[in-house]
Amino acid sequence: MKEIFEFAVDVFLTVFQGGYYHLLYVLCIGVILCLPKVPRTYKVMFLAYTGVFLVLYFFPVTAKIIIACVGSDVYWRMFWLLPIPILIGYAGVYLITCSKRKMVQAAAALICIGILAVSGLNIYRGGAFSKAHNLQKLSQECILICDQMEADSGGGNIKVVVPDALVTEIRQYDAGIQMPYGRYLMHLTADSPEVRLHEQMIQPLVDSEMVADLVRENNCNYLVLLDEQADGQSLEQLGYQELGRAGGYILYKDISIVEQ
Amino acid sequence: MLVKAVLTGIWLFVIPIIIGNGMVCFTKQSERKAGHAFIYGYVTMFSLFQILAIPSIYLHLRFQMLVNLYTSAVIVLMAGSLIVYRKQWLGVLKYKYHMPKNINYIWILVLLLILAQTAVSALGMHVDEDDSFFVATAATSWTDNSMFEIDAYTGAAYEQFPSRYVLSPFPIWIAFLSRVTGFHPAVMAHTILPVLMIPLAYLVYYLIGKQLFRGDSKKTGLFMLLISVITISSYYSVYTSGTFLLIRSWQGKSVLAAILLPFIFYLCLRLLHEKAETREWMALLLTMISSLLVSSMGIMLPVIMVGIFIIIYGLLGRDWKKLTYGIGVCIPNLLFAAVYLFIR
Repeated sequence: MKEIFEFAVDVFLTVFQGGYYHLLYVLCIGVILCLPKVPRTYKVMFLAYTGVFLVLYFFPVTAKIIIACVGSDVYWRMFWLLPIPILIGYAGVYLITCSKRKMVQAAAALICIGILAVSGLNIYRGGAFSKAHNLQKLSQECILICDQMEADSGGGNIKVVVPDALVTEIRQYDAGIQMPYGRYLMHLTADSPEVRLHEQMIQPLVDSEMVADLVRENNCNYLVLLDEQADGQSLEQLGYQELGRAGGYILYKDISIVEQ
Repeated sequence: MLVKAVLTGIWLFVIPIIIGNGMVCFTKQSERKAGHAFIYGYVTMFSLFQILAIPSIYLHLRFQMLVNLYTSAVIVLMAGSLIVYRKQWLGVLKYKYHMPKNINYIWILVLLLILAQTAVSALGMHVDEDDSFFVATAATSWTDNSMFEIDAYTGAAYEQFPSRYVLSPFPIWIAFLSRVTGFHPAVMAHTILPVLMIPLAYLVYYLIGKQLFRGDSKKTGLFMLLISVITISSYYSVYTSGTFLLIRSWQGKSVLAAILLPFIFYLCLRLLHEKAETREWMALLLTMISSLLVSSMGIMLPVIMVGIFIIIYGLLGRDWKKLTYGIGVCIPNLLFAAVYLFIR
């Protein structure tokens, strides 16, 4: 029981660290309770809703049931049920319109907006967005590599192994391309060919012979490496032809499959 | 490109309004306006997709079959709305728009902020690794004409359906939009859907504001302004609904967090905090079913939210009608919860 409560507290702290919106929420509960103009029914509603939510969230019995249903790794999504923007916005409006004088209201609005801004982090200054180079919003290298493989294969089967940075993008662009592994490998055993291949692919400089064998063991006919990872001469001797380059990546084709 | 854009406009904006206008018969006469019609249209379409998709997936039907089924059902709903409300639609065609006499500067600021947020999300790029499943699933259905038969991560055949996701086939809905508009799923998800989802989220907040402030336009405008600032400032945590809305609006869990859960909150305010006619519970039922489509979290979180309201107003308030109806609208979610726990 104690562990579940502590887990719930940890999740709470994780969700709200970096900002002060949880404190603003509590403050706004106090504001709407104190302001006479706020309808009593809404005072009761917001207070009761918050109270019941907190009981469900922190009480070990209910927390355990909810965790069993949704999973402990996403228990933090319970906070989507808390009407944080709604309550803060609601309290803010009543604070701003306390006075009937427009200059006072304007000043109050600016103060409220300022408090809201400093209590969080501006998403446009937090590095969330970058410039898009295409409508798919994928890296241009991913698109170029996929297009090169499609042009080369002439409609045939494509199975490629790529560095981790491209693993999450390839099949978003072209779901006809197969890969030996995706984003997660924890379901595979340590000695599986996919895991052994991945271990090579994350090396700063790959062992060409080992990679060549593992790529073939995984039935891949294409290989992409970072420029600094690859020993082109060795790979060529092992039956890999350089097909093209895109950004810092080199695309190889296993020509031994064609020759067989 | 022009044809694709026109088809997108029709599927994302025109059709939901037409269908929603038919569904607003479940609201009070005074509130049957375009805003209600739009959101009602979406919860209707999402519910319909969920009802058709789940059996289609488990029967291993081809994706194109679901596209045909859903399109046919949508056409029937549209026809119903156009025929039943033909006088109203004829009135819309004859409507002459007048500029409002007193333009409220607060609303201009709000609209500019919403436009700016939408533009940045649509034109900017945010890389999210969850898309290696969600967008790749849409791309896989679109390419392979199958549904949850192929592993989105690798392209290999699934040994069994992915239990965490198969009951919430929102990526298949994205694949459907790609099929009927011609846009690639990655384009549909990353560039086009933000143009829908962000304004839709603010529409829900607008309805909440109107409800809380009893239709006071100035207070509602101020409320919307503060909501905008809160959303923009929500990046202090990657877990907030505001962050999800602005950087991953095409993902089902974002639709749940930023649109459907607030809409359920709004409906609970109307139905449970106040008194409503029985038929208005239909909107809540449709929204609960919609939540099933968008995310596996949509199975339990809406139930908990409605549950909190029915504890307060049904149980503690000793209103047995609210208690009964509140439990009733949760039945689809509880059934899905049982199935989810069984297959997990």
